[in-house]
Amino acid sequence: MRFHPGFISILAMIAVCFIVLPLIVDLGSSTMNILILLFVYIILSQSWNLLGGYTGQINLGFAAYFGCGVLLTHLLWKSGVPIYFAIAVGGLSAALLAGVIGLPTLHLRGAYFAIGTVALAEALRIVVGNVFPSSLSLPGTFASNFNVFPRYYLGFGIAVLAMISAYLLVKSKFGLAMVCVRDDEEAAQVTGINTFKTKFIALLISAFFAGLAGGVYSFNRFYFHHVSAVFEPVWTFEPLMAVVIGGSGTLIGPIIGSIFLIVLSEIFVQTLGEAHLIIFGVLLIPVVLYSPSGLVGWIGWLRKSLGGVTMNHEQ
Amino acid sequence: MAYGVLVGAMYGLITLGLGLLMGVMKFLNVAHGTFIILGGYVSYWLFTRYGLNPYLSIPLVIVVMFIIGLVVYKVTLSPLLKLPNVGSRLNSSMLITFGIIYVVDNLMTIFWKPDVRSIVAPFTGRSMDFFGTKLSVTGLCGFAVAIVIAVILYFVLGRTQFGKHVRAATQDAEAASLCGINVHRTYLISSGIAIALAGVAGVIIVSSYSISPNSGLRWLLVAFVVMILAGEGNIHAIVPAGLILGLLEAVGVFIVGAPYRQVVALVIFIVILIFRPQGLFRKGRLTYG
Amino acid sequence: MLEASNISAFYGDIQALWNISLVIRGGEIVTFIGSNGAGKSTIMKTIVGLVKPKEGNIVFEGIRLERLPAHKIVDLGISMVPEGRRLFPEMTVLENLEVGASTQAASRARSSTVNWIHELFPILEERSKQVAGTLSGGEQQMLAIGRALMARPKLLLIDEMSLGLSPLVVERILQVIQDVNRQKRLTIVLVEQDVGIALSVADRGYIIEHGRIVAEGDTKLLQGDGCLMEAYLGVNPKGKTG
Repeated sequence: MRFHPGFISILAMIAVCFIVLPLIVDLGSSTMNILILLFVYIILSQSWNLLGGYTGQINLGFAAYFGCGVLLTHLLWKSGVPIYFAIAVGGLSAALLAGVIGLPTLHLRGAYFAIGTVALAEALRIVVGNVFPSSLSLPGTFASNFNVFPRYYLGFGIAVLAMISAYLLVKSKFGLAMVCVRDDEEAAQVTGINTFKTKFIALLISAFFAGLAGGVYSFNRFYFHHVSAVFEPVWTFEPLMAVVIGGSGTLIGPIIGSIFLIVLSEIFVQTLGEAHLIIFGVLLIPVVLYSPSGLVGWIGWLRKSLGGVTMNHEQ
Repeated sequence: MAYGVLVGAMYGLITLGLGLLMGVMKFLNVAHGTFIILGGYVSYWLFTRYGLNPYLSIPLVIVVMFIIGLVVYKVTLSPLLKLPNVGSRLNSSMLITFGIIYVVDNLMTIFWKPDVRSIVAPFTGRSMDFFGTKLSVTGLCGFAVAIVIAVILYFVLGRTQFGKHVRAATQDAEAASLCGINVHRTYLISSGIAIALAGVAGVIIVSSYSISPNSGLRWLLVAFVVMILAGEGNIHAIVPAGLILGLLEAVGVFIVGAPYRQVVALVIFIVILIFRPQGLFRKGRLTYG
Repeated sequence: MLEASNISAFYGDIQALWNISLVIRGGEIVTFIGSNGAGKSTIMKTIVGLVKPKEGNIVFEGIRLERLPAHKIVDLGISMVPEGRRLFPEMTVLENLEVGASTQAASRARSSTVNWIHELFPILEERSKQVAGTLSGGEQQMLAIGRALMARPKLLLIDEMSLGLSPLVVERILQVIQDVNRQKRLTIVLVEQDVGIALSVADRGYIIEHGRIVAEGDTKLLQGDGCLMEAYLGVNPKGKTG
């Protein structure tokens, strides 16, 4: 698939905006926070997308990897490890966790894999909740050094890294193997693809980025009332929703979905509070039923019906 | 030990609805826990509003949840039947029911606030003496309800015409329609029954434990474990499997302590998944599709 | 009794039937013959409602069938013994029979119909409590036919009955089929790979090739026309498919 040259320049312009804007305009800390959260979601949903959208392994316990990254980054950073290193370790530890879990569970098909992942995430949540029952916070010195800019740029940087990695992965031969496993695992096996290895590596990469997302999130927070909250299913649901509504199995889908998610959250959190998630559930169902390629598919359809030339989007 | 048996029967009851949907239609309803809690809320509402004894409210809960089940099937699950292969049906049913969790959980939060509720009735907390051990009244009632429901289900599936339609549709849907069975209607009614079963489980849980809008996940996981233990599609093995889990859990808690009760179940779950994914009761390998 | 006009049917994007028109008259035995994949089973499935035609219509005793779901068509009086028998493997012989009478009309007469089937195939009565998956090939075929008959049909479609069965068993089953046709005036449509069997039992035949009807007529005439048989089926009409 070729990238339309115009498309790349649009992307570049958007990226430049993100880089330059905070420097010239004072966006205010709440906006910056929202953007950082957006980056976290982009990383998280793109990584879920790699495993679920491209390789067809629906992981309902994704929060485990995110939470692992958050926890480890926080603990390491607190004990003096430089933040960049701590985040990297967070990512690696999530990948390690995935590796340990993945070995036994990846033999399972469909439903059992999903169930297994939920079970593990829940088990982890309970264990963490028991090991860290009280609140966790960073010492005061950290607070006085607070500067939102490095957090913003780090988040942005890792999001870009995630997108580029995803792009390279999807375009490679491995990416082809992933899609084959998704479409028909038995057929893939027959053509000589080691489906287990494919699934396993996809899981590791996916978990790594989820851990990184956790690291970025952790960087931006000083206080955890109950740290086990980052292991809760909502951290699986929101990226899942972003991916499915945005367009599962596409590169742009998670970005669109994450933006959609953040925007809707902001709008509805005022009126519905905790319950704003209800909107997403209501949206998810018709999307799964009637528009499996999500918003990306919808945009493509709109394009075609408006008579424009379809840009070559990857599918 | 006896406690383990009581709890185990309840675990079996919880799982029946999940197992029915999975066995008959190969749909994985991850919102099963949510429906259990919903049933609990209905019973709770009847109790606080009208003072209705929860166990007496069971028939009402069944009716309400049955209707909800019909609606859920019609709106969200039946379109999936058009999908060509079982794998994608399974995946899509997971995604959709995952969405349902968030819709219904949050509806419940809006109506009933996020607090933890339980039914405190004159009999709550009381125990009876049974062959020397003290057993809680609520536990015994839960046990009784579980056994009664399991027996009824056994007869319905085994002896009635409808039960035969369900079994036929499960084993070969196309051949069933060639016999004149309206397979879609059979699926519809089965969904209603499955959700109604979840509702009954909810009544037991709100009387014996407590509920809050997000506590469905905990029971869903229990149901998963029991379902795996029983083996896919093996509905009659569900209550026995529940009993086994109850006993194993009681032993496990004795060893590692109460806060890790759920972890025990989950570990058992992982072990079974790895070593014997076809369940304890099925002969032969795990087949798919 | 049944008339199909200009039926075109697809499996996804692939066209399986092209402009099929045929007639089935009450009381006769009609056969569809043709090589593998010619479309014979597809026609049967279209009639009984498992496949929906894209074009054309099917009229059965004045009622149009194309839009009806399979179970309604069974209710109207058409029953099919599917290819591969498709029994319910975990249900007993008796239960398989009972389930065959799931339409309203059939269920009222269920027990007397069961007795009738037991007369036709006594072995089924012997094996009443046995689980269907454990029966031999011939017994399974008898059960499949019995199950289809439980719906008390006016028109019975039988798809590839003889596959994998010994000639003796096939002979016995054919005998039963012919008896039922004569005694109860049950119209029968037979899809058969084995041309010899098909022509020995049927009154009329349609030869299907690549989803189209290429020849039809009384079986005596078809048998006699050696060239026809040779050309379309590569067959010596007195023997099996070559």
